[in-house]
Amino acid sequence: MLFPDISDQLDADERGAYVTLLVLAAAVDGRLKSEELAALESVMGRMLMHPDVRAKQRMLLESPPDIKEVLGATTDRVRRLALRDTLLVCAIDGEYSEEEIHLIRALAERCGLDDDELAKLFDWVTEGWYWMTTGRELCGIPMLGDMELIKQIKESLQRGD
Amino acid sequence: MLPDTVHKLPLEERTAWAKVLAFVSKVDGEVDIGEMALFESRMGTALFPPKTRERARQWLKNPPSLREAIDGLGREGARLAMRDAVLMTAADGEVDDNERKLLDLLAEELNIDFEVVDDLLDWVVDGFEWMQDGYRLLKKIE
Repeated sequence: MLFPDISDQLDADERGAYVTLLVLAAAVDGRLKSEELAALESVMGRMLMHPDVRAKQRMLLESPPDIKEVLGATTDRVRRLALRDTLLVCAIDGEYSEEEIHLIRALAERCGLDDDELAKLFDWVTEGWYWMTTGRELCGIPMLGDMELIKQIKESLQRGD
Repeated sequence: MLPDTVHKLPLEERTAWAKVLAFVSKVDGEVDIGEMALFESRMGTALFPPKTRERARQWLKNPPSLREAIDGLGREGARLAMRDAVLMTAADGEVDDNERKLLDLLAEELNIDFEVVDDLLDWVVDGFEWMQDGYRLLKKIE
């Protein structure tokens, strides 16, 4: 995260579970993109994880653990943060795959979020994309697709969607 | 965890970008744990090779001069460095006079208008609010 976050308050076990859940998110569709890897590395940096622990987490990309085991052994706040950040990691390459949607739904169910609440979280991710895009626009360095995204969101806001 | 372009810059330019962030983090003397975590997070985003990451940690202890840092920046790297300097400075919710002077100095050196710094500071506030919205949607998180 680019701001101080509740994930900063997690203890060592919670940090491990949180990162493992995000590794699962990155690995779930079997297609690891550079953007997903950058997001994972960013999180491990933010957690100030020891290089050896980071290396172990990277190895999980090849052989991800069972999600039920990880979810069952951690705390409610980790599950909720992991749900939020799974949405961000899965969205980062520009689309949600079927496997990613399945994982997100499983996490949402475990966190007790219904479909409407999950839909709001998806909208929140879109708003985050818009915010990031605006930052690049302010600096005059849009990336491919930014201007189209800004146009779509402005039109959506005008329609009151 | 939002789509960005830092990791796509040439390694030399990413290195200069990281030096600017180290300079900004260290400018008021000590680097606290929050600043270190934010710096490490940005290094992760940049997908540095392990040896470059080790060197980057040294820059946090002994930062390069601003001149040395910005020398390796192209146009895109300079603007990403400006954006991320604002983000790192304002992420804790406030920008004091010294931090504002630093941002203006950096903008001057990078040939970026001061208005862009103002706009980026407003942008950080928007991002902070976006984060708070996320907590509300997750319910019961503390």
